[in-house]
Amino acid sequence: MTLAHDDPYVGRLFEEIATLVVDGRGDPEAVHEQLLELAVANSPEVARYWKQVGAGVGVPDTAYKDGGPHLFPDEPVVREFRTSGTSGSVRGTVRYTKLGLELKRIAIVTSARKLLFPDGTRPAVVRFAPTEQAAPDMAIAFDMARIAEACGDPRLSVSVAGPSGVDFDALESSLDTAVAEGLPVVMIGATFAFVNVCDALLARGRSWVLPPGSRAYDGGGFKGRSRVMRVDDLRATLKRVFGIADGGFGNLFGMTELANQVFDGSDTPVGPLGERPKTRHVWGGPRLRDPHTREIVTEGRGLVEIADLCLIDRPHVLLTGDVGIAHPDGVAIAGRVAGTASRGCSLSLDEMTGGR
Amino acid sequence: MNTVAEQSVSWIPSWVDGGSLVPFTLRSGDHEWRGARPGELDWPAVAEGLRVAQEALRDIPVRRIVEAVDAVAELWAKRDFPPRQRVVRDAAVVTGMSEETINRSLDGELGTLRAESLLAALERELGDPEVLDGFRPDARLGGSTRAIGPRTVLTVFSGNAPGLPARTLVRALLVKSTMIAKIPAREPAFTAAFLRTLHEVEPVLADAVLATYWDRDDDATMAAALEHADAVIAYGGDEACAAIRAKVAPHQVYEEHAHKLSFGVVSEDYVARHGVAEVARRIAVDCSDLDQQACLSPQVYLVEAGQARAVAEQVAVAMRLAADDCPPGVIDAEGATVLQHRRLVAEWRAASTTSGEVWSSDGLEWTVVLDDALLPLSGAGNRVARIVAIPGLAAVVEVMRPYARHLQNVALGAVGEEFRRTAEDLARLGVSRVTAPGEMTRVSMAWRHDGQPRISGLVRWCDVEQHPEAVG
Repeated sequence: MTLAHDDPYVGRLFEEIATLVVDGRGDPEAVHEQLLELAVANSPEVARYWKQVGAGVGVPDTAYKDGGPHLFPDEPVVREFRTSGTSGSVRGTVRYTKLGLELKRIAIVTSARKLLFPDGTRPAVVRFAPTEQAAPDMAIAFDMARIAEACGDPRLSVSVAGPSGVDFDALESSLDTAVAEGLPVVMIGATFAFVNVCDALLARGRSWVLPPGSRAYDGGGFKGRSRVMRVDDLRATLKRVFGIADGGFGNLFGMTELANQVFDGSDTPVGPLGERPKTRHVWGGPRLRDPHTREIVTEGRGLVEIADLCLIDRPHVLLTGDVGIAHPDGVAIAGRVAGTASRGCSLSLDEMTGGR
Repeated sequence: MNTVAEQSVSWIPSWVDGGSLVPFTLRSGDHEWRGARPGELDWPAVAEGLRVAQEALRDIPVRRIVEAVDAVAELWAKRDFPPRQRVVRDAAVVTGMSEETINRSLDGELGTLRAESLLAALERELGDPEVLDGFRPDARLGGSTRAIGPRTVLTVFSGNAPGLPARTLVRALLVKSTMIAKIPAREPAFTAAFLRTLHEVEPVLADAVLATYWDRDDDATMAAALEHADAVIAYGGDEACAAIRAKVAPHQVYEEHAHKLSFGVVSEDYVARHGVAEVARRIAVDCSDLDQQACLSPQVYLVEAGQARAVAEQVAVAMRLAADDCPPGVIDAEGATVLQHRRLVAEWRAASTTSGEVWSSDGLEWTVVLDDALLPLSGAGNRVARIVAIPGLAAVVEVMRPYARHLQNVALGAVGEEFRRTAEDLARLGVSRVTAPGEMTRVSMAWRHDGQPRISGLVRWCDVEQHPEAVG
């Protein structure tokens, strides 16, 4: 039987999830089971899929290119986000109901407070991502706006990604002021944006020694980019340009299809570019599925699946389309699953079409 | 490391000064093979040796060359021939394919090297094969004509089909060319082993070939080999071939076998004529041969909608039987990740549409996907039979049009007028081979490989005309 958005069951589930995320109280496994039941009850597609492949196996991210499963089709959509299309040229869509978006907000803000700003200071949050107004369908713009509101200094926090690229005047002015006032700066943005910004600032001959406590968090990696950079090389460059001290770096793994972002569990290089392992949280996180058996594995390589208990508008387990490497501190996300590799003169169709 | 080959993966003609050779080690996964190649400064001496070798080769009549190759193929056709057994074991280690899969590939390739097959190819392309031995009368010319092969062909092989180098090697020998062969890293042992047998049968032929290996980024060796070639044949991906093509000089004949795509097509009338089970068996053969790794293997089978589900259900049965009959290869970690991901994507698509379905073995041995749209793709390779329902054969050409530049091989399961019409459309689109379902990887020597004559494409002609001495 389908569960309506205003069904008391859904309301209770929302409260349980919020309590779990904010206070760490509750039983994640029970929430997981309830979310599985909700998805099966409200989506015949998900029910069929899990019947075939096993209950709780992640729904592929490609599902959202065709609209994807949405568990409350009769409830008004308050926000729609589009995927970036980096894993193919077709952009996907995810829809949020009011409750779903509120859960996402709670998740983002809580995680940021706990993991990115644990000392309670309000630094200047500089976002290499557009504002929500400029990019209302971009999930990262929503996330970063919430982080800046909740954790940043309201006067000096700024988005420096404008319609025609990075606004270097705004960036330089923000950093100069922070240095003058001795206020730490937390920079957050797409990995590749950091690379481009550093290139440009070095070309302009600009660099800073940002106040102690300044940090840089990048996300997105190099998927779909012609140029790649090792994690430690990127950090060395950031150090050179912004004077950020060791220990001031982190990587975020976010996907439009998820509510939460996933954080580094330790500073140990694990992936081929030195990617750090992403940790699990009370609300979930990454795990690996064995390529041969689809069972969850804790060693070796496998398909990355992220469970996110803060998703109620769609199935909360996502097969991200990435390859992961297991590590005691988590799972290092080590790049996209390749298309079927060509051998010699044999060419596979998906290579020709970019995996659409 | 395990060294698998008991013998060198290089074939060095007897006239090469062994002291000038540089040893190398070819590594693939946990295995390594030993070989040797001429030093950078020794290629001019190799070129001179090949010139002398070609003088001897020129004196051998083409029919004698055919007989010698036939004799080698006859020896190699036996599965218990020790050199073949060693090659099969080596190829299994490096490709991951089962020995049965490799044996079947070799059966096919070696079958094309028998005398009847070689003469058919020569006659198809040259008319009279003896134009390779001397001037032959040509009535339509009113004179006589002669075909001259290049002195030396440089061939860069890639290894996705066991035994594949034999075809090109023999074509060059038939036109009395010497050859410098860069052996495929993914199947290193076959070429040298085959040449060793050829040497026992007819040393002049084997001594006209130098087969060795160098790394893809060894530009110095590539340049040295290239400098002494009159013709260049490249196998490989688009990028690898483009890199070779960029180095070819205007005077050098160039033949390329770059990325290719192949499809299958089945009409309702074809199913009515042959029965669902038999059609499914044929599709399963095409999707299982060579573990679907060859460019000749189908990426997708387009089946008319009325029979698509029935065919797909039976293909699932037939794929299981094909796996029992000829075991699938070992899939490496990366291949397994790709395949499992593709399966899950296909499972989601099947669950979210009314017409799709996925059938598969418990492991990764085989997969059948039924869908009603070509895109999104669930991939191919490692025995994934993807059955895509189409409204009618008229849709085939439009479905394939975006891939026209890369089209190669189409299994056309159609009958009568629909067969003729669709074959005509496919030919115009760019397809270079049309065959029956079940026959996709069984390619004759006479086929104009990738759409071009590969024997006559190598030769230069000399016609004598308007001259009283030439007539008769």
